[in-house]
Amino acid sequence: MRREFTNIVSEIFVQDPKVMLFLGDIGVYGFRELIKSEPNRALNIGILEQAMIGIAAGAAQEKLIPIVHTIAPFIVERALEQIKVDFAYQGLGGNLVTVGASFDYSRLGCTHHCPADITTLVNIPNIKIFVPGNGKEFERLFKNNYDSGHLNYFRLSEHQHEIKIDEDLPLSTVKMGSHATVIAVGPILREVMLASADLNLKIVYCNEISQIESTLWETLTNSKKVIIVEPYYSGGIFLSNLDFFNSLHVPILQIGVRRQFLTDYCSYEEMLKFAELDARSIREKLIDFAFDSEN
Amino acid sequence: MSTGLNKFRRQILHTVASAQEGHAPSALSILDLVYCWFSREHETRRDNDIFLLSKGHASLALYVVLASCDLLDIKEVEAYCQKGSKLGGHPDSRKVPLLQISSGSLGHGLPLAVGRAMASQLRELKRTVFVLVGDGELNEGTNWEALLVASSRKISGICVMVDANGSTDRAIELSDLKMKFQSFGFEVREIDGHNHLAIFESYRWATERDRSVIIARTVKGFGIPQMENNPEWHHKFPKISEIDEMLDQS
Repeated sequence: MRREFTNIVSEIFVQDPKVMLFLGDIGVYGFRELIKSEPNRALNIGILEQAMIGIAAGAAQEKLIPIVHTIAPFIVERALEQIKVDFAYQGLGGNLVTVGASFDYSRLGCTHHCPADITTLVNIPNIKIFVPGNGKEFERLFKNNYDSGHLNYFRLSEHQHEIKIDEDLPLSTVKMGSHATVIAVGPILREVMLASADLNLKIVYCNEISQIESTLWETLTNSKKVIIVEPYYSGGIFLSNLDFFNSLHVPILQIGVRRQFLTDYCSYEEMLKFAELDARSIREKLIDFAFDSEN
Repeated sequence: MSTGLNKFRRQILHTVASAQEGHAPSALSILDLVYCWFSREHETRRDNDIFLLSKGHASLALYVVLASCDLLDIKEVEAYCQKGSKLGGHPDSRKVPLLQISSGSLGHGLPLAVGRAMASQLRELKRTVFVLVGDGELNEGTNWEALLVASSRKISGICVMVDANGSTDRAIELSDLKMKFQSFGFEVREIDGHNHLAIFESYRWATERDRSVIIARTVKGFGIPQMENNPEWHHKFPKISEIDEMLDQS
């Protein structure tokens, strides 16, 4: 997804003079030509994420469209108050685009992991959160939203699904079934499909988790049970659409990254197992919940 | 000591006393700086220059000055902190866009100011962004991050006004503040923050510079002897019946 990010932002940057790019010394090589040709609009601003968010918000106050980019924990966790106060509280629009996701840097240790980004950001009112499942989805979501005037968070991940989805729907049905409805978010759709291929489950997919209550109504009202599978700490969709889920009187299971420091240095696939988000772990949870008559 | 702003001091004290909320000594510390910035005598101020109050807890000084300029309805000031009011203990620029910034948590104004100056430069606007910070606020690392960016990218049109009342010296003493700013590539002038001639002159001086700092030596609670440099009053409220006596002693 990083390649698509570089290509799409470069394209938009050239087309839209209101766009201002802030890099926290990450992704710089990909934008080297823009930084050289437009040094006042494409900035490698340095390793100072809190000020970077504040400075970007200042640019937004001047009607520019900031795109801020670095590794997820350094924006979301380090500069959370700046996101809340400088952007959200002041009602400013902009785009925060992170790399690393939950543990893309699986061999680099927990300082570079960010499984808490979504469940942290959902507590900030009016932020729009996008979890694209692949580069193509990122392209569509970014082009449709970068200048919406909202504060947008785009969570890039190196790990993607390749399943064709209905692009026009925020919540699209990927597989029919009747025992329960599974909502898969972003890249984890790959594991969910592997886990449920022979199970009588309806699989729906989304890559935008906030403000989708009306679509949830349409898709989930007849479900007997609901299972939400998210590639980060569980709770993102639930908290973002709390009124809906409070009114949905069916059992709900939430599956996400295990809430503990994932201290192993290992491959991404090994980390998925450790986080209990590999296809096998997900399958066990789906079967236990969806086909247990006591639930 | 009086700088002729007793009308404003009375308004600040009266508003705090009525609401039983607010930070009167902080407002009194910056009152002269704010008054002069919005004054007609601030002749070098351009129409598109910007004033950002980063130390939002001192907001009452800004409210009463804006009301005196007919930029705010005095009734809004009188409704300070009441349910439904637009003006609270810390400013909300979504309710009153003229306030420019929703501040309160410290260390946010200077990065925003750098961003606005950068964007103004990009838009080829000739202006100066003034941002008023407290010296205690300078404990926050975001300020120094923003100064690094401003100097390394040679941002022009920014003036940092420091309300240097020393109130947080008990935690971290910033005794070499001038040298610190100079080392970040800013031109620095130190003034008496209650001397209007010095303040006007420093504003003129700042407008002619790319990156400047005005260290305004102030007294927290200035003009009200009981409050001056008295930490007890930081977030304490007088009774309305006490105000006349407090002002008489000034």
